[in-house]
Amino acid sequence: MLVFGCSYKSVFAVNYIEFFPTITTGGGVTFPSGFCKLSILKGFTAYRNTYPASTTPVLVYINPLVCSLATTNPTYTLPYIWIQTTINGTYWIKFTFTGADYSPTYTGDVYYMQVTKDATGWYAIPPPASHFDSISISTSTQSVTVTGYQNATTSNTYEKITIEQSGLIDGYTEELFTTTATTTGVFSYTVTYRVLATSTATTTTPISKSSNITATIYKYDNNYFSNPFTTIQDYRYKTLLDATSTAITSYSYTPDTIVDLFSYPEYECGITSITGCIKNAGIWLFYPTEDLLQSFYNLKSLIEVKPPVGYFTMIKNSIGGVNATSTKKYNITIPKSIKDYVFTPFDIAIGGILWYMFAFSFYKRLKYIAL
Amino acid sequence: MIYSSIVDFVLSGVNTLIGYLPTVTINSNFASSIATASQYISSVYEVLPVIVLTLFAILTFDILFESGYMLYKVVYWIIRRFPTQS
Repeated sequence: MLVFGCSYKSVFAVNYIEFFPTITTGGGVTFPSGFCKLSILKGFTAYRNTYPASTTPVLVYINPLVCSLATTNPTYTLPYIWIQTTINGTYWIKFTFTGADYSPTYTGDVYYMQVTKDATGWYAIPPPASHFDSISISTSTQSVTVTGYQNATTSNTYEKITIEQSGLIDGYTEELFTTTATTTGVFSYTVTYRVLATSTATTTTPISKSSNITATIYKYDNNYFSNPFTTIQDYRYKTLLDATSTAITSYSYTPDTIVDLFSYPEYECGITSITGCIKNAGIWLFYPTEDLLQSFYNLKSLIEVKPPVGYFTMIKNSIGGVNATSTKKYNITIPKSIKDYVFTPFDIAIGGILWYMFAFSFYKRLKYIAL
Repeated sequence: MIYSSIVDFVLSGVNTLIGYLPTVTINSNFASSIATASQYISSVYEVLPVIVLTLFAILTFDILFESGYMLYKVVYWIIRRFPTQS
């Protein structure tokens, strides 16, 4: 059964009117009033492909429709129009007005429409795939809301929407919500997320911690549940259609000075936890700020480029640029047998002697160092 | 707060004094000489890798050690120039 959507005007139209058929759920088409004032709908032709490609016309069966010019506001509802095909894909339909009855090639008033057929039926505007539109957090109600579009269960496939929370406890992910889609259309699910309990003792337990909320839509196909021979789940059984996530950030400490605080530890301070107040006071007095730590690094960088330390740094960096694997100035080619049996043993022997001599000379050098 | 203020004040003074010194820059010929030396070393490295690496390591260590020792002597000489209460 064919369902119509919007139509397209022909470039060959001489007398034309705009019309947009009304689609019925049963596949019937209702034309707007005044439709038959100028034209007589004569026929339909369907082609498999996207407009304007033209392949072999597909057989079309229609309920014969003729409207009289004398009728000013007719409303014709076709019980059904169907295209004789079982092949899924894109089709375009040509409506013909005036001219010979059921002639698909008459270039008078011609309108075109593109439709698509899949396993679920015909449609002019294809339904969206399952997806998420938004995910939002409400800290006042401690809830997360996800919206999107879902497709209902078919005979062998079904979709599940799952919401998980991770990061609140290291290495642990909790499933907050899961459901199987039973209807096709938009959805909106709201679920409460977890938070750490606030400590009331005089301990150093963190007051809050960041976490992530992840929502996924998986499609399960029972046709590929498991391999009967290996019992291993087929990869086609479970397919990820869409996923989204958001973070729940913890409370950010707002410093009361213009200097940002770096990893500023803070203890709970209150009537029942005076120790924490004393600790916080000590931290405020003596704990170094990020600016101070950065000043040390800046001073180190400055000293490295100023004499006398700058000369040492310059030599160290330059010597570090010498390497033994850069572009060769010239190539030395020797037979492999001579290299393996003459040069390599000679190389190792001389190298060992050099290290031995270095050890003695460095020892003698250290003996004459005066600090 | 107290610690940060004092140390920040001292560091600002030191930064200002050291900033008056000229900046040490590397001569471009020095860099090109390093690149040329690398090319010659690479040619010999293919035949005598152990000797090349040994000599390179010894020379590098010796240069860095002597440079560091000289730097220590210079810095200690500067420190001894400051008058102290006797």
